[in-house]
Order: sequence, then structure tokens, then C-alpha cells
Amino acid sequence: MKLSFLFKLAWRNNLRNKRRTFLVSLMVGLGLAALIFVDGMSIGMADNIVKAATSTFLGHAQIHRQEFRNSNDIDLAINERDRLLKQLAEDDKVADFTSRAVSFSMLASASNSDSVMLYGIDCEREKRISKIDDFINKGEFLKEGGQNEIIIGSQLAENLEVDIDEHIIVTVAQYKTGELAQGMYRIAGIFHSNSKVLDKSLAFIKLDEIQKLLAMNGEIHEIALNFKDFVEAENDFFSNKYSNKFNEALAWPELLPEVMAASKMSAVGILITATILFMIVSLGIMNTLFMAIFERVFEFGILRSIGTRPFQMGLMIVLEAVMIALTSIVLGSIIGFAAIHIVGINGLDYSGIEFAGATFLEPVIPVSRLFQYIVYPSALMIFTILISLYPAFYASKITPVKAMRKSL
Amino acid sequence: MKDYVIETESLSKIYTTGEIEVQALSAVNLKIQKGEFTAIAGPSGSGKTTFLNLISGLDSINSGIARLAGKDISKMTKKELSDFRRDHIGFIFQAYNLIPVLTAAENIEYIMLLQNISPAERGERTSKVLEDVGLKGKEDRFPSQLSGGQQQRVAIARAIVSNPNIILADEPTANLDSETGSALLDLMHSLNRERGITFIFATHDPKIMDKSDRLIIFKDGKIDSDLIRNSGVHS
Repeated sequence: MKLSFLFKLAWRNNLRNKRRTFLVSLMVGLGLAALIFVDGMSIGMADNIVKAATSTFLGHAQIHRQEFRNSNDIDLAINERDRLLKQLAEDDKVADFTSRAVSFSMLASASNSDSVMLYGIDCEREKRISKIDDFINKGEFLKEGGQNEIIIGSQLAENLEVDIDEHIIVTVAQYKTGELAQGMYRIAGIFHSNSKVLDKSLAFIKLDEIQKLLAMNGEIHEIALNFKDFVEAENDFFSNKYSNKFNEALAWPELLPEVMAASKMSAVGILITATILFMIVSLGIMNTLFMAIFERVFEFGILRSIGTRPFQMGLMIVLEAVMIALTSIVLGSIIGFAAIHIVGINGLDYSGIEFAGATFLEPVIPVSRLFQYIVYPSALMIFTILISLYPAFYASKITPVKAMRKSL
Repeated sequence: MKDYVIETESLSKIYTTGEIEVQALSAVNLKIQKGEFTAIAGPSGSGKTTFLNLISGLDSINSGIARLAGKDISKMTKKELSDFRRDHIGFIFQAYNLIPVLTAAENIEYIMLLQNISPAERGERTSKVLEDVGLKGKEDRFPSQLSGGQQQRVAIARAIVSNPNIILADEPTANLDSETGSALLDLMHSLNRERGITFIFATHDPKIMDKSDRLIIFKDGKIDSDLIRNSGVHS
């Protein structure tokens, strides 16, 4: 028998009870729409958190001396600094970069003291890589002409009980010798980033001043950079090109493994949600199919008696399920697409909430991706076909005489 | 040598409900020639419908043999039985039993689709048979848009369109008014006379009994009488 005829028959059978077919299609469609929306939110959150993590201070990638990230040993300065900076300046894929020197240090005010990571930064280049300057909510960012200025986080300022224009003492152990050195700095600005780590344990002075304080003679510990295309961070080119036995070049996925892990966990969560959701909606379809079968047992007896094979009976039921699934997919895709784009107008505001070590800076915008409209509907269709096999088997086993009871 | 379309030997059927056994058919021996217009009558529960169910393979045989068109149907698998019914038997039911979501033409075409007949031939045969049963112009109507008599005409068209060896009709006029029933009976009679199609009716309708060539009376699952009133088998 022609499949097209069976499709027509299945479609018309579904339309016998339009309200029931519409309601079950809507139920399944809403399930699919919810899944598409949750996935869109998940991608949006991951994008948002990666963007927040990389744009706040990290950059898309960084270069350090091997082992520096584990030990924070200030003696491990970047090897062949000048050649590396020249190479980065000539690299077509690199949009911008900045040099940093960093050391554990003790900050002391008249009232309190606290240990922090003290960064020496290039005032102008840093603005193009990180957002520390945007986070200044009191005072101002470091500037070229300023001397012995420091900016600290809001939480650190609270701990030290200091405010702008007050002075604090910075104590560090010097490069190579380990000798203690101290400097007094005026608090030029206080930043608030919503990230507890940043606001509590980072402080910034100018790069040349920290190099002088640490007696580093122009050496640096870190180069942070942004790519022209963010996707480059997911390729191996950067690591292959800039890593060697002295230096380590890593993009954000290696620098922020917790964000990557959270993203993967989120994907697993979506998979589990999808499986549960599909099972529930598929059972809804199975229930509808059985209702339709029980209403038409007599008719099935007739179909069997006039020569319809058991397989053809079963196929008809499977096709009815396929038609319901197709209707649901159309409804679900439209609703899911609409939900993503309506919520996407303003996004959902998670600002200030920390996730996987990073802090949301902007509203989360759900993301629409093609695979959401291919993979999930396909999975729904497969689940539906699988679940329809049971009612299809039941229908194929109907014996004409039992179905018709009386008459032929 | 006579050309028998149906032959049964000691055909029996017992229905079991819990511990109760009912002998629905008891050792029925019957031969029906090709082209007969036969009525099987008898009181309710006498075994008429059971007999039709068994010879068409709709129900399983407990003992005995049933041959239809020379083939022993008790030895066929379910799939073979489906194909055999499709190709050799036409059914007409009391309640018409058309597929409600298909039009008159589609109901008739359905069986030819099962037989994988080409679209052109399907269209030609459907058109012809609709004309034969007096339903030309009503091809696109759904069963719910047809009267009872018209629905039964579609059922007759569906039964004859595949050129079966035999048509089994169970109370085909029971749901129709007298005039419509008579008209349909005339139609089936003319199909029998003109095309030589074998008809077997299970009926209580005296008009069918009167018109039949052969009247078989069933009683308590056995043949009580077998009256051949017109020995001529029509080609």
C-alpha cells in the first residue's frame, strides 16, 4: 500500500477528534518549546559567563612562564619578553594585548591589613583588555601622569577601612632576592565588579612602579590578550604558536576549567531534562493512541477482514503518532522560537550573581541555534516512533472476529 | 466436474467462555458452486455467522476442513489469510462499515491499494463500479454524507471491485428500509446473474431467501435443511 495514502489516512484519523489531537499536540509542543527555551537560556548563560569572565580581567588568552600559574613565584618571569611582545603585535589574529607583573603583597592601612594579589598594569592597554576601569565607582582609574597611585576593590577597601585619597602601605618580596620592599600609595580609585574574588583580593598599580618595587628590571609575569575572533580561543593555534619549554600560552577554556566544566554539566543537565521530558510527552502520545485505538476497535476488525495486513495496521498507528509529533514539532518550534526572541528583547537579569567563579555582568539573552530545531525535534520524533510501537503492536494483533464481536 | 468455490468437511467450532463450552458449529459438510446465490437462514445463535467467519478465515477452525477456491484456509498464516481475503473474498456487513474518514471513492480504492493496483486502473475500476451501483457523481462524499442505502451500495462496490471469487454478506439489508433493501437485493442479484459472482448471505430477510437459488437452514450449529430451488448456476 502507498505510504502517501497511509499518511493521508493517519492525518484524517487524527482529525476525527480535533480537540484531542490539538490538545495533545499542544502539550507535546509546549514540552519541546520548554526544552528549546531552556537550552537557549543555557547557551546564553554560558556565553554570558564566558564573556563576563574573559572581559572582566582575564582576556581571551594569557601567556606566562611555565609553572607560574601554579606557584605564583615572582622569579618566573616570561622568557624572551621583547620578542614575544613584537610577535603578538604582528599577529593578525590578535586584536590587542597588555603586559602585567604580579606579586603577593601585604596591604596595610592605619586600621587593618590584608593580603592581596598586586598587579602592575599598563594603564592604557589594560583598558582595552579588561573592565577594571569600567568598574571604578569611586575616584578614578590609574593614569599615565599619576605617581604612587593604587586602585583597590570595594570589599578590600571595607576590610582596610579606607577610602579614596587615603594612603596604604604595600609590602612585597622582591624579584630573585626575596628582600622585603615597601611603598606607600594613595588610593586613586575603588572598583566594584560584583565578583567577590576581584573586589576582595586584587589591587592595581602601574606596571613600571611594580617593576621598580619588585626590582624586576622591566620583566613581566603575564600577557593578557584578546583575539579578533573569539572562536580562536577554542582552537589550538595559540597554544601551538606561543607555547614552548619556557612559556605557557593558554586560552580561556584552559584558564577557566571550572567554567568549561559548568558548561558541560549544563549540557548533561539539558540531556537529562530532555530525556525525562520526552518520556513524559511520549507517554501522552501513547495514551492518545490507545484512546484512538479503543474507539476504533470495530473499524480495525473491518480493516483486517477486508485484507489489511497486521503490519499495515501497525504502520497506520505509527503514522498517526508521527503526524501528532509533526504537528507538535511545528507548534513547539514556533513557541520555543518566539519565547527565545521575546525574552531576548530585554534578557533575564542575573547581574551580580556568581556562577562557576565568574559573575554575570549583563542580562542573560537566550540564544537560538539551528540544532535546537533539528536535534530536539528529531529526538522527539524518534521517541514518539519508539513509544508508538507498543500501541501499533496492539493494533496489529487485533483479530477481526474479536474486534467485530458480532456481525462478520 | 462441478466447480466448487466452497467446500467444508466436518467443520466445527466450539467457543469457550470460562468453563462453559458452546458448540457453535457441529460437523458441517457443505459445498457451494461457483455462481450460486445462496442464503443461509436460521434462528439467532444457529451458527450462520460462525459459518461465514470460519470459511472466510476471520475465525479459527477447531476441527474439520474449509476450502475456499480450492485452498485449505486452516493451514494459512495470518498474513496469508489477510492476503487471501483481500484477493478472493468480498464482505458486505449489516452496518455498512465503511471507513468514515475516506470518501466513497477512497473506500472503494482502499482494497485495490492493498492489492498494489496502478492508480490508472484503480481510477478506472472505481469509476466503473460506482456507476454499476448507481452512485456516479457521489465519489467525493464521505460516508456521513450518504444515506444508509447509499453507504451499503458503496460497501457492495468495495466488495466487488477486486473481482473476488465470493462475496459474504451478513444481514446486508437489516439496517435498510424495505424499498432500499429490495433495490440493493436486485443490484446484488443482477451482479450475480451478469458477472457470475458467488453470493452467500447470512440473513433473516424473507426477500433474500425468496430470491436465492439455494436456501440452507441452520439449526443448533448444524444444517437443518438444504433446499436448492434453482439448480442453474449462472455464469
